[in-house]
Amino acid sequence: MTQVVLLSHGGVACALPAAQVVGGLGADVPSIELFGREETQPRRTLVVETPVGRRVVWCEEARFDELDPDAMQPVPPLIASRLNLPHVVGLSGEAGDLRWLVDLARWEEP
Amino acid sequence: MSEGPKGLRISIRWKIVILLGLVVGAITGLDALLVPTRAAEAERHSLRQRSQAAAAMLADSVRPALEFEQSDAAQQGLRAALADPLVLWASVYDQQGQRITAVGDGSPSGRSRVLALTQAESGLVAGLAEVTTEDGNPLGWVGVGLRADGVSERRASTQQTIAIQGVLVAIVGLMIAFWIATQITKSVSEIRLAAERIARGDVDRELQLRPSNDELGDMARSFHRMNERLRELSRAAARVADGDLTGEIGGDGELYASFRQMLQSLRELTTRIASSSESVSSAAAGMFSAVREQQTLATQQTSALEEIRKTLESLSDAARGVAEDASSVRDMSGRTLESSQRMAEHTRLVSAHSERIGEILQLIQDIADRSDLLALNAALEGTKAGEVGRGFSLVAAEMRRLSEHVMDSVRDIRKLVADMRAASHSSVLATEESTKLAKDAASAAVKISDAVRRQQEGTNQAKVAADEVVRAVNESLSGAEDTTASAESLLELSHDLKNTLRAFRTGETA
Repeated sequence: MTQVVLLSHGGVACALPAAQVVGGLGADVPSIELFGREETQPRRTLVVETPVGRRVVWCEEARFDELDPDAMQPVPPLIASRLNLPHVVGLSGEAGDLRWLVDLARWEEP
Repeated sequence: MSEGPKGLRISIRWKIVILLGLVVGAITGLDALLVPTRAAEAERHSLRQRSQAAAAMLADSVRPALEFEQSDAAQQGLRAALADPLVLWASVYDQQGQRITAVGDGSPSGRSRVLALTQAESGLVAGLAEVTTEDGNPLGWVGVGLRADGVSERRASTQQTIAIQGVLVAIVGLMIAFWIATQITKSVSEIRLAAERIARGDVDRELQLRPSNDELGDMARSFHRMNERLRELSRAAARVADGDLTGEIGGDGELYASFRQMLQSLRELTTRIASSSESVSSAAAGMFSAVREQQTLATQQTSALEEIRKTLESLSDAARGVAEDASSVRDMSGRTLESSQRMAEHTRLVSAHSERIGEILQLIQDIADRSDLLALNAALEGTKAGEVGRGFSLVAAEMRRLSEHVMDSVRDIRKLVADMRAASHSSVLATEESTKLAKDAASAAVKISDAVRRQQEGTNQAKVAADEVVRAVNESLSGAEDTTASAESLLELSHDLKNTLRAFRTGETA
């Protein structure tokens, strides 16, 4: 099982590797936007430590959990080219819940 | 039908017999009077000519005796005249008319007597002839008297014979006339009886008239034809009387034309009456239904008005109660106003408490949120600690679920508080409205008292009016009953008329 932090970012269910997440903070911290949209109702932020630096991402809610590695799969190249979101690296379809697997090390400033 | 002139009734046969008897009697009487007389005159005239001729012949035979004044020779000449059995006497007269000589009995003594005898109607006829010379000088006169008494006897005998013949002819003629008149009278009597039977309207039987070959036979045949045509008319009339107006009536003449016109008029009249009776029936049925409906409505109105009257009495009684109640309402409205004001204060207090609860809930939610964040961080720290931190992670997860439950409960409580605050707000508004209503109720109670008093007066007036209306409706009901009876009678009459008209068949579809 892979340990992850499940979060809801602007209503979109995402998952971050638990090893990258340092901890949670309040909402009053500058944070990044994963999908190029404005923040809706940020309640808290997550501090993520990546090889390229520390990132702070806002979310409505977050919790620690585990995902089945067999339920994970990479984003197909055609969809990845259309999404134009390099930090979205895969999908998890465990128990019918579709989640985007996000690697903030690949996040680029817009 | 007039009975005819009053007086002695004499049959035609006797009239004919009497007329014929009078004619025969008159002819016989005239014959008995005139024929013998004229025969006697003719015979006397013949005798007179015969005496004239005898006198003339004797005048030639006695002329020489007179020229020579030989009276014996003259008497001798006269004796030849006595050879005629009709000659009674013969005499010779001189120029002065004195008798010179004579033969036979009864000769007149003078020529004037002989001249008178030639004109008289007696039992002898005399003839006178002048005796002249060859030169025409008068010598005297010769008179001859012939017996004429047989003329009168023959005249009397002839009259008797004619009278007897007349009587016999009259008897035979009267018998024949009586028989002919009887035959004529019999035929006329049969025709009369047939005419009377036709006059009585008995045209169904054949007429028993003998068709003789004369004018009476023609009349009988005409009566037969008339009877047949009248029988046809009678049968047509019977069909019409039976209601069958479909037949046709043939024949010429004004009577048949009038009958056909009458039949056509009857058809049209029947059709019009049928149509009119249908309309009358419909109208009567409609009127009957309308009157019945009106009667029913009037009855219902009476009941309703009775109810209204009772209701008005109840209203009047109720109004007194309402007036009393209105006074109570006014008092109660004052107390309600005080209660509403106290309730408003309490409601405002509840609203204030709800505000406070909201603040506390916000605090609890913040704590729960922080606990959730703390649980996340604790879980991450436990993960970093590896197997040692697993129990720590489990506690953190349990803590996170607890904080989630708390936040769910806070959301529920927040919702309830919001509902309570909304209810409090509504209660405040309701209380204010209630206060206003209480004030209005007190004011309205006063108005109600006044209104009820006026209503009582109006109710009493309405009750009096209702009584009047009830009386009027009862009178209308009485009139409606009469109208209903009339409508029923009219309906029955129209039905009777339709049933009667059904007996008539006009050949048209109804």
